[in-house]
Amino acid sequence: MKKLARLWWLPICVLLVVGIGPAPAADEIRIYTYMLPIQEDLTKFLSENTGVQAKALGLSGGELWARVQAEKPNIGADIIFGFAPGTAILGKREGLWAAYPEAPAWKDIHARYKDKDGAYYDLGTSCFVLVGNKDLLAKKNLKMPASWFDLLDPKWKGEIVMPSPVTSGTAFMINATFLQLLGWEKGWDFMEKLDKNVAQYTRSGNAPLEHVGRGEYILGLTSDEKVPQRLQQGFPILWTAPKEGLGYEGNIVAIVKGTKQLEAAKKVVNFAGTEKFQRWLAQFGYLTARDEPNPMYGSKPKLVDYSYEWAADNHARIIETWKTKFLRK
Amino acid sequence: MATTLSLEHPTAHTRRGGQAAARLLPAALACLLVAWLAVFIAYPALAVLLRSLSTKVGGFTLAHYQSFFAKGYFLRSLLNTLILGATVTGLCLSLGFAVAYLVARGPRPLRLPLRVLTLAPLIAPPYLFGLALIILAGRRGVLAQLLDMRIPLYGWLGVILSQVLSLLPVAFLMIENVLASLDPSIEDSACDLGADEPTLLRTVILPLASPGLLKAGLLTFGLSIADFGNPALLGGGLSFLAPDAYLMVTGEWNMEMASVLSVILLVPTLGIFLVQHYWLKGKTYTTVGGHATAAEPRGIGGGLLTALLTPSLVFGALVVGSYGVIALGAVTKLVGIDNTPTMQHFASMAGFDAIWTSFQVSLTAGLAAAMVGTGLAYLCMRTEVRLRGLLELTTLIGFALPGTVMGIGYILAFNSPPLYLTGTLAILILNMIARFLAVGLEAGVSKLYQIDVGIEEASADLGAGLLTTFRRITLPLMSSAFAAGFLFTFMQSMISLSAAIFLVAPGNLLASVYIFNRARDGDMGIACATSLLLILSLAACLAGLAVLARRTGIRMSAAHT
Repeated sequence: MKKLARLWWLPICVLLVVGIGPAPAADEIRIYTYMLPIQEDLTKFLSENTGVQAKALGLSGGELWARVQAEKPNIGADIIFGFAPGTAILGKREGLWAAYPEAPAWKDIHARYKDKDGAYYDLGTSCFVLVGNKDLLAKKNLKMPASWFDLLDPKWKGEIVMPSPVTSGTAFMINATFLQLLGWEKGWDFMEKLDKNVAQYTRSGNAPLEHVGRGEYILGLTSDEKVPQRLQQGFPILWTAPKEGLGYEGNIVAIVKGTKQLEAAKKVVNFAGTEKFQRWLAQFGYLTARDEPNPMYGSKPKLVDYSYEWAADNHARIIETWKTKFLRK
Repeated sequence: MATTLSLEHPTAHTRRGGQAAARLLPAALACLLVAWLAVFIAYPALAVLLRSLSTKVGGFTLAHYQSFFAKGYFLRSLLNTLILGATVTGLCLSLGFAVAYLVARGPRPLRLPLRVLTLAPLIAPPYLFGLALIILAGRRGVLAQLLDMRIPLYGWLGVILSQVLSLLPVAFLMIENVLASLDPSIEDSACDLGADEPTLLRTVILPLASPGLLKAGLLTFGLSIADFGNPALLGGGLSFLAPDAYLMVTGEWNMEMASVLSVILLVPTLGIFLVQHYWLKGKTYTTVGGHATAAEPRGIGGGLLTALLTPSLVFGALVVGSYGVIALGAVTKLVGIDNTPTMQHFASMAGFDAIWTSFQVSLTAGLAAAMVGTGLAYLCMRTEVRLRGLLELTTLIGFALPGTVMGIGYILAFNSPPLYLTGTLAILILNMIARFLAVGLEAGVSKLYQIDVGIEEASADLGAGLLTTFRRITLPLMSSAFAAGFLFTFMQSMISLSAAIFLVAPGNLLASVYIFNRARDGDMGIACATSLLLILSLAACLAGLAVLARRTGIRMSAAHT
């Protein structure tokens, strides 16, 4: 029994050690990012090159913005590294970002990638592309569609998978692209017809690629962020940029106003504008602000005429309309 | 009671001071614990309720509930949730009974392997089977390719199957307990009187086991409708309340609607739990007395054996298959499609970090929950603190509330000063303690019923103070309750997802959330690799604890849970 009584104090000691744990390091930077496929490489690369300790929480675009809205003014991150331009604009209007217009590495980058007041910077764009499963296409003797309108063909019924804008920023970009390409009425009309062929709306913008890669569905509308990686790993996928052009989304970086790590955060934002970081980012398929060589697209693909401002202004309206039209039983 | 007894020794003048302390200490402790329960269980739960009833500016409104009942979408979600709960409960009960009956009465060589197989899902995150089923039976899963057919996994089939796989152990454990309390000699008598096996089952065993079956059914139903991971992974186009509440928060930041969904989800869960705890308490038929019975259970006959064994083996095969594809998925490029062996999925450190964070959180929460739980039990049972009903009820509410509700409640309650805890490790730990405290408390209470107060009184008479008696007498006797509280909280904290997913922050990612996010992104390789590591570390922890338990002689019984 004495033995037992002695054992009792052991857990308390463990508790104290584990529970209190090491205090967070002074130069730790907390990051929210929607660049999910590269989040781990990103924290590693940032930590190695800036001397700050980057810790990231990957959230899909909708989740990230919901979290920021919930937590303001006590946002649980020092930097948002990679989020949608539309929400960056909304955040700027609400005064959520700490401006850093003097960042030296961004000086010689085209103004299109910089907010005029220095509230945020755009690392470069990601697009959404059409992916198909090579094996299934061959088996069914089908060809990759060359136009977005080809997707309306009934032969694709139950074979297309795309993300849901309720959670996915990619999905919002897809919807906003069709609406800007075709106009409000015709855009929704197109998506309603497309809906008849859609098997599943996924929560994440990268999930359609995985479904198609595993051969569960033949076609997917997906973020391009992970396509090069999957191709390299030998997944049986094909991708195309349909002839009407691709929609695109910036990857914004902004410092959260009120952060206790302002200096470290500035260091990270500045580093993101350097050639070293931009070249590193381009290898994942991002069309970077410095236009570094891109292994996926080669030359720049045809992009649709896409306005971030319009997307930001119509954000709530688009999602509400989508929900009333497409939320399933 | 110790204190009343010592009042009868007025001669011990010097002990007066000690006596006052002996009265004050439990009262002070009780106040502290009551305050803790109020802040970390009652306050978040009330915050959810209030939010569901308030307008954006803080006024009172029923509009959110009106819109819940006006919109077909949400009603459909409620209906789906109830259908799912009922189906899964029915399946778990029949299958659980079959396995438990085989383990209790079946052929000896089958008993242990069957039991181990049935309990095996306990060490995996509940949604692991969802993940495994996608690989195993998805549209291009291993099975689909072998049989060259497409299994409609996304939807009812997948959600039901994955829930049955993850919830069967719970039903099985409870039914096994019931069967163990039935005296085999009653069955012998029935057989001697000419009953054949089916008649015996129908007229003797099932009626005797029915209260236990009802309890098992209620618990399974509650767990099924609160489950978040499996419906979220496999639901396809179907909507269910728990994942919907998550979407309302993360997708739209509509806390009002999320709170409404939580309250609606909470009504059946809490109702079930209270019914079970207060109404069904003690309603069991125990035919095994304190005296030894000589009868060894009879064997069961051929026809019935086949009827019971077939579904059990199918279940067992699915469990083995699930763990198998997870292991395979971890070490191949893309299991079923590109089976090249690789270790690339283990290359990222994030999975290791997440498991380590989970371990820290779970260990701390487990120890704290066990300590607070048994401490509460002691206060309730052995001191003059007359709050037992309230304390028990509060901890039970913490236990019964779906994780989604407790997660949302914690965001609502602790996202602003004075208690700004968002993003800390502490909020995760506190949440786990609050949710699983009840197990330590219940185990402690039932243990203290068994310990004769006389032993403690004797200690007090011999001059030991309250604390000394507690430390030297009560504590060692309560070690098994402590162990049960610790084990349950630790295991659950390692694998639970639904509350934690709201509370993780940069650098504070838990393994269960990490794996779920990876699976949702479609990164099956990394999800499998991290799952495998998590399962192996849990198995190692369990083995370590078993050794520790044997060394110290503490009984660790899963029956408490």
